[in-house]
Amino acid sequence: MGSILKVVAGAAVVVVVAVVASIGHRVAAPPATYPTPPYMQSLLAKIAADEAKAGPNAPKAVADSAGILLRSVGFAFPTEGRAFPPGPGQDVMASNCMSCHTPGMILNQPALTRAEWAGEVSKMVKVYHAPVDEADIPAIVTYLASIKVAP
Amino acid sequence: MHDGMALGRRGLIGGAAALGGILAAAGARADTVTLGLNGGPEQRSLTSAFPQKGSMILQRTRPPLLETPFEVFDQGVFTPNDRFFVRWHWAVIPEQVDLATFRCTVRGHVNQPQSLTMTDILALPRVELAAVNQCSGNSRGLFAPRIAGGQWQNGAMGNAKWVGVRLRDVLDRAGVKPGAVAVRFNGLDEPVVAGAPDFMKSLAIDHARDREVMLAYQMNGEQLPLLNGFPMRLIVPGWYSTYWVKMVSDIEVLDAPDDSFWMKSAYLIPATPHADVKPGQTGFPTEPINRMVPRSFFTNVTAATKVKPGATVPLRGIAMGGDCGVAAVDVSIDGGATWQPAVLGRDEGAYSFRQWTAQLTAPTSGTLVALVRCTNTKQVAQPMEANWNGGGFMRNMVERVALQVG
Repeated sequence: MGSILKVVAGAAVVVVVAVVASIGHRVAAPPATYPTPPYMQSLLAKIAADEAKAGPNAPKAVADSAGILLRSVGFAFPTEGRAFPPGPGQDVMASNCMSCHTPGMILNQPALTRAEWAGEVSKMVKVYHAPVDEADIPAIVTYLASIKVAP
Repeated sequence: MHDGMALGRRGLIGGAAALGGILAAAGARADTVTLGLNGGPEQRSLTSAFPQKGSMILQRTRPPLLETPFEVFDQGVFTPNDRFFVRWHWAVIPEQVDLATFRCTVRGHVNQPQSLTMTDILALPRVELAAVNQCSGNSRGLFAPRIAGGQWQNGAMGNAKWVGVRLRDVLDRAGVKPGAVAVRFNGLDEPVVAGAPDFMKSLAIDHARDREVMLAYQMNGEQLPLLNGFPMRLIVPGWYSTYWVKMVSDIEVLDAPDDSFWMKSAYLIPATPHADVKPGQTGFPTEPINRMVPRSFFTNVTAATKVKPGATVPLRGIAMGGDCGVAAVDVSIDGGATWQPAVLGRDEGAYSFRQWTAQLTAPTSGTLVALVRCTNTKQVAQPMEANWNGGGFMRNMVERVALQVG
């Protein structure tokens, strides 16, 4: 079995709780240090006793007890630059198929058969609750089966 | 309204600048990559528009699917955080996470339900593990016949040094009641459409308490990028990434098997050797995808690499054992009739990538076709033949590269 591992107990814990001032900016408040809470003492003792039972591949106790800083984050995700190529049904695709994912997902698919596309559309509607107008489904399948999937 | 229109809510200037790669025309430009997917489309944009991410292969903008360009794997066994692959199921992903309000609940079949801050988590004993995180559908784009889904080449994987706490210790804070059978994990992401199945995964109780499964808040020495699951994600060593729930905010101990969608109906594989069936085959038993299998790759050569006649060709790559360590990596230049051992690099742990090196001698003309095969410590070797299943899961055949001599 693996070596008996030393548990880092009672390590000083530093957490930075930051307020997200605005999207795209990260603002860190001054760090605050907390001792190990009293309610954890018995648990830590139990964990220490438990440690020796871990297998050889188990994660190892970290050797140093340095505090780790975590900072709140806020960002904006980029938006899609691709659109469905022109063709009969393009408008139906735009109105039905972009709530859950961007067009690139479809444009990167291999050229599936009409039956396979019908299966995919059915799965999106029935399994993933895609807000697709049932009357539009034939036009969607036709469009998918007809588009030249451009690189 | 929809962000499929070329310019979305970021507006003209920021959007156009950030999305230069996306808007680029296809062609042999530096901001596109060709993935070698049989039947295409195989061109993808490279994008650096995502927060905390460097240049990534854009598989899907929303919800993000970002693949690691394969040359990154030649730079070392640990994948830099800003190049680590990204995969989300649902498009409602928080763009900000405030640690002042973030809580992770531990509830269900427990004695004392918990609502934990990251301060609480950081106070638990800290452990570290190197482990490969690989998408179940990594390499799906290489399946033949092709399958709908994320059209990954081989870069939906990465290796990191994870620091965090044992899941067992978190569960013990709540006190698991006798009779518990599974633990289910949910993150901050949500479906776009009401009633759609929220993304949740579960582990059997013994697995969840096995002293290996972790909740990680650090990755390669830094906090996790938001898109890789900040403030913490589940680490399930040796298992596919679908279980590595990101932004974990709810841990529910169950007293009955988890019959929710993502365990019962999705991510199922044929319960057959190599999860392999014939296209169109039906009637086989299925099971939830689980342990990873061995893989190995060339990282310093591609089909575009030219070698001199008779030259000594240094080869380099990475290997993974899957659910255990790497025992051996072997290379072959005669189609697998004979193999010669590669030299293994430093052992970073059973679940880590391991670098390998080998030297081959080029023939005097034609091509040098090299194969690489990993055998893990359970004596499971990569198969020569590709597997196939309807999910495009668990590809792990022996990799092959043909180098041009001349």
